[in-house]
Amino acid sequence: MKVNETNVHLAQLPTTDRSPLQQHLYLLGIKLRLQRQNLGNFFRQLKRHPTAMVGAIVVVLYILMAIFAPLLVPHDPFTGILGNRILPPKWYEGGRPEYLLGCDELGRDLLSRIIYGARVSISVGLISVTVSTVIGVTAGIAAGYYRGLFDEIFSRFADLLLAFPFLIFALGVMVATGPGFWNLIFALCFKGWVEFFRLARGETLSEKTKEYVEAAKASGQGHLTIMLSEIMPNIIHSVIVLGTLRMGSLIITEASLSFLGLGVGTRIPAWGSMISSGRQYMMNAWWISTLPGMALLLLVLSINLLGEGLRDILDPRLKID
Amino acid sequence: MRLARVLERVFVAIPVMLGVAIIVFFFMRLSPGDPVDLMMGEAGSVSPREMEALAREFRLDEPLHMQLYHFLAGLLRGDLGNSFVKRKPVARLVREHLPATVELAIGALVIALVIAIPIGIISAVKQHSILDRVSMAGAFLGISMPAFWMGIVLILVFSVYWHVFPSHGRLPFAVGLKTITGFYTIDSILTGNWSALASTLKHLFLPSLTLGAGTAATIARMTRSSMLEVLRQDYIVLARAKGLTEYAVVVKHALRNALIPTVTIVALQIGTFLGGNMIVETVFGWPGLGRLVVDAIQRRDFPLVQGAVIVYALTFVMANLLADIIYTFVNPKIEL
Amino acid sequence: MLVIKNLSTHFPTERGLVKAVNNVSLSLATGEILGLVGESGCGKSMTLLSILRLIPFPGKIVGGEVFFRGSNLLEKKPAEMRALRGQDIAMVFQDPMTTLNPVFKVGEQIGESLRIHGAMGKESFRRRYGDNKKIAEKERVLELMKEVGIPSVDERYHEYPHQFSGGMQQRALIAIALSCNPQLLLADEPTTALDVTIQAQILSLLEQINREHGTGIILVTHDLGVAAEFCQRIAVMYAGSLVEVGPTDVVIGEPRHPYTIGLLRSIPKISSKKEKIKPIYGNVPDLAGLAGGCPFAPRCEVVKDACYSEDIPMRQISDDHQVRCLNVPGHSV
Repeated sequence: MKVNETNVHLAQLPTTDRSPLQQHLYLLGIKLRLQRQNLGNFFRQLKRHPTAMVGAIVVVLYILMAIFAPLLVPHDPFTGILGNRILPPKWYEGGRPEYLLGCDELGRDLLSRIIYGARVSISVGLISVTVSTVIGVTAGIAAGYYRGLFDEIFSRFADLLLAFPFLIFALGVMVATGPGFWNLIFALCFKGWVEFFRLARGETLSEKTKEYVEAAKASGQGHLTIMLSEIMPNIIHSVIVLGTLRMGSLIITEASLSFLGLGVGTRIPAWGSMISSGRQYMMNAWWISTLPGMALLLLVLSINLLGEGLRDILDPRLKID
Repeated sequence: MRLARVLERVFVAIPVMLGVAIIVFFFMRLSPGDPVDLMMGEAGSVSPREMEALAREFRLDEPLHMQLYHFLAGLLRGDLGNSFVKRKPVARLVREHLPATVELAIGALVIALVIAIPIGIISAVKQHSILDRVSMAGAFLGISMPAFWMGIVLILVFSVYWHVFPSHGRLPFAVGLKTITGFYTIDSILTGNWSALASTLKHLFLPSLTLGAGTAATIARMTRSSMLEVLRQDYIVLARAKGLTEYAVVVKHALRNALIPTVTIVALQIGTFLGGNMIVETVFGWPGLGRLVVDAIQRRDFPLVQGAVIVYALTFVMANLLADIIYTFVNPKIEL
Repeated sequence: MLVIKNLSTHFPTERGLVKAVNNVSLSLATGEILGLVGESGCGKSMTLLSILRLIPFPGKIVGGEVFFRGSNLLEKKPAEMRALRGQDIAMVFQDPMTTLNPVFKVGEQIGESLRIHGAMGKESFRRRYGDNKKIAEKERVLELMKEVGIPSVDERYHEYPHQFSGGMQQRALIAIALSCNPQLLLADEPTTALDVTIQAQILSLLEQINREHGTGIILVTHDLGVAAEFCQRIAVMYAGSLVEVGPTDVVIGEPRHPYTIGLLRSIPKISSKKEKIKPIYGNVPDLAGLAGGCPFAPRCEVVKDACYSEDIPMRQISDDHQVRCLNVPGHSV
């Protein structure tokens, strides 16, 4: 409300009487107000997309589970009890009520490990999407706005990275750097930014020619201001959609790397490595690799549901596959 | 001129391939620790003289730019270096394992196309029908499904519980197939070994399904949406106004247009197959390139990993090139 | 030849039922050209598509009869309907750019109707083009292309639609429509997407076809000037209903419906004397929210209270002139 009042006040001033700062605030204020309207609209529209809503709720639950994992786990996920080796889930013959989903090959509580596994997937997913987005969008807007050598270098580099299948590239980087959390983030972001770069660059190229950017230039705004407060708000919708949809595939890539033994390392429970180590016990303990996979599938499914819903709401013309 | 466009694409691809090779080279040199030390870990204790010999063999004593030069020159000759662990030329190892991988990829592609294209078409023609809803829900599940987990579930269901399909390998040793081409389906037909053919196809089914599922989902969604787009076009109304049957309208007039983007996507999916085959080959113990790489990673056999990554990347570049060329030919509008 | 009685086509939409074609009755004599005039979105195109029974989903023909050569098209089986389409009743569409299939050669597309309807096997065609169907078909297609004024047909035959200009594409579409010698040609704004000079060429081509083959034409247009120039009779449509039907000189010379009068007044005239154009105020109504009464009432200058309340019948005001307006005396049809 306060922002609105300030705006009204500033808007009443004739344009020439505004100081540069006031002018900027005024423009920014309008942006804020627009965005707030959009946001209200957005939630109303989200309600009309029940699948997206369900996706959003599940994703939030997963994030909460990841944050509060230490408080939620019924047992210690790191140390096993020898006697509990391949203990079946509770509802199974031989299952024990205190171990809801049974135990793994080292006698560790599977539920606790699945809950802890969410930490890796969620944090890797969120961090790598964020880093990729920030790098890609920044470089993309700058490349699209300035063109020239900067654009040329980034675009060629992006083309080069696109010549690798994602998993193979990430795998190569992981082999070179070795397992580990930040190495994993590095491996995912090294190629992950490219799509955001291409999106932001393309959108900037088309936004740049529109009248509002010309108007901003004519009113003497600096390049940085134009990029941040004129172009950015207009491409952010597409970026959000792409980011959501890509988070699902980044999480799958992370799990695939963990599955191949190139993830965060063996000591931290990750779904991919749990699935991998349970494979040898498939004949007599199906739950060890199936249940973590179920947790992974549910998360990715929810993220994709949310992403597709966001696309319908925010940017129906965006085509990603 | 189509030819000019094709040539132009090819010329654009050449520096990309070079760049790919250089990136791979530098990444492999990034790795912490001296490869020779790593190998010592593999081979047990090695004398300093042997270490020096090893370093010379792998040109580790030369400056980096010379290493790069030899690496690229070797690449041009088709020489990908020698495996640390297996002590064999990487190129030969790749060649030996390639047929299994290609056979799997073709199986996956066939399964994906056979499932996806009819589903995509029918879902579009019968939009909002139950069939449409069910198959699109299935396709959505398909794009969200991690391949390795799907493979494990398939093994559990079809091998462990129902014993319908084997869970592991390409063919039992006992079948005694004489290999000629390395493609077991072709070899068994060539030698008239029908039991081997049946067994090969059985072994091929689950891995192909696993590898092809994601692609099938993507293609089905793609075909459906482009079909829906096409069915809205004016030329479809004209086709109906000419007196064509609905079948001819869909299959002749709509499909030809709707498949233009699909064909391109199919070629691009080869990249997905390359990425996915490591996973699928690991899950199903499939003795192909992917399995070779995963083994090499676990044994830190750098030249082998490096060589395989290059082969993967170059194949991917070629697949993209192929997609581009196919697009040129299926879309009459490109006539520059 | 064509008699439409009380034809209604409705579209259920989220905002309500759209009566795109509302109780339309029309007739067309053999060899006649009828102009169907109205603003965009008034249901002209849907009337044509209803005749062919090609209403797009979710639209539906809900009532009426369409007699073509004495039999009701709305009662025909799908296969019988298909046999008529493209053979006896052909249609020319508004936007040639999007109406030709981009992946097939133009010659191929012109020949397609001939093939579906087995035209080359018919006696009249066999006598003229010979027994070899393939050669005969190409012969016929080339002849059609020449007839509609496509130059250097031998090369053009093998070209794709995107290699044609807009005018040439429309000519190709007309060739498609003509291929089986239809008795009825439904032309849906065939010149709207074209330049003015090309428009005139296409219209005179249609006139020539009408003259030479005796093809009956329904020309849908939003341009009363075009209709006046070209048609023997004019039907004016507003918001899904016909409001005035009559011979061209009567509708243009002594229009009786306020909408027709308004339309005529809003045409700019070319003359040295600057006359003021009189626009019709207000907008085309939203067909979804249409209540009873005259749909033109909110924009009408001579509106009465009764106009809003009752459904106004079509009235015969002279032998061949019908108007749907309470201010115009006459007896109900």
